[in-house]
Amino acid sequence: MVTLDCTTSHHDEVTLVTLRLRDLDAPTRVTVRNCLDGPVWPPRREGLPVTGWTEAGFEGVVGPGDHALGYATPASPADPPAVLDDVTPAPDADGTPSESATDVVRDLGDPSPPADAVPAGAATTDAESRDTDADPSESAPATPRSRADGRTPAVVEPWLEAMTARVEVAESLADADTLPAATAAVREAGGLAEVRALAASGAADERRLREVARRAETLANRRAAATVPVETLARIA
Amino acid sequence: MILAVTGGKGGVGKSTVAYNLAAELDGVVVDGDLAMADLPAGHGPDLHDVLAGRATVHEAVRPDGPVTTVPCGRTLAGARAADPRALTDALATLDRTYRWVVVDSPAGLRADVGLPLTVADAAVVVTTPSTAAIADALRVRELARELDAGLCRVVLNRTGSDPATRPVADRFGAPVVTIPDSDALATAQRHGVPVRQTAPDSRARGAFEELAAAVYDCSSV
Repeated sequence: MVTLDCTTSHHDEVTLVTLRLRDLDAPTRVTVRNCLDGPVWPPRREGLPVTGWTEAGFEGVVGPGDHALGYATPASPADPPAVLDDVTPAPDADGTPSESATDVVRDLGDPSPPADAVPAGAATTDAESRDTDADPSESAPATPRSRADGRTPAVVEPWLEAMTARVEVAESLADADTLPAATAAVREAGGLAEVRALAASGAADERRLREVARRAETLANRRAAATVPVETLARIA
Repeated sequence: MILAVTGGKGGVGKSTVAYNLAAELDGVVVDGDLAMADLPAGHGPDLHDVLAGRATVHEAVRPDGPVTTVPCGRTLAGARAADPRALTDALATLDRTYRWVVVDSPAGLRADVGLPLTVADAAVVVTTPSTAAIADALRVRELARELDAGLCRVVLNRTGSDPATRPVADRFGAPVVTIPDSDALATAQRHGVPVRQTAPDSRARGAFEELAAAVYDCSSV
């Protein structure tokens, strides 16, 4: 007869539940269900729950003898903390499930570089990282980026904002086709003198914006074409 | 058939062997080194995109080079965004389309080495004659055995003119193919082409033909 002994201890708002399965005389499939009012925090290896642990508790085949299981939960202790829901003899199972991809990661370790190794800001560069060796003609116009994606440098942003404000004022002046609207637009622009100045600087503004766009475009293409051969340089260094 | 080219130690020539073996077999070579890719890349989605769910593995195949390749991205951010567990499905998908799927495994003994071995039908372990390389290769051999990837051949790379293969074969329990130190091979690899294209009559090419024939034999068992 299989018995389940439970003990709990509570530290720092976390309840640790220790379970002992006793007197198994053959390989058995057991289902242990958490009864505490909170999620099961299963034991983990390499960030992944150990085989058999689910959101509800533990389910798996255990071999003959005594077995210890344990989990944590933010819920308060209660009695009993867990119950044995199901006990089924599983004579054919040897208790060693076949290796899945998750098992391999759990056993051997996640090969991903640690977060600290990734340069700051690089997390958003999924698309950009590829642009370094992508076709420049393809990467420039074919991928319109949202503003959040390709953030403009801090030194450029104030100037662009000033230009945006002037363009918006010019647009609202151009769109005003009734007398009240025109009056409001002129007042918004800061008076007739300001409107005259704005009109005079229209061509210059446009030239300057186009010049910046042209230089940025050229630089972007050159940057895209120049792939830094890190591996080669590291090898000769 | 999925063939994992693995070796434990870095710099023993796994990528060179994987690339040239795929060329001989006319198969596809997958750059499985998620953090330090070294097969030729080019434009378009790569294995990082596949493992992050942004592309299918077929979209990452580059059929236009001298060898059909699935390259891997070269950024740490890309490596971190990728879920290595998706590698087994990606390889299985390729296996349904290509007769030969050759995986260039990274150095070490972490999951990126183990995952290809779980789906691989056979493994080729690459080592140089140095003691350190052989020790690491033996560890990978153990892992391949645990993950049911049969050891097809041990490649003893960068050997001198008269290498002692017998002791190596005894330790690994598998036949040995030797690849001599070869300028022709090094030059070909540096330019991203297989040695069969640049020096078809070289001894290194002969070694890859021998290895490809051995892999054929393993597949028919």
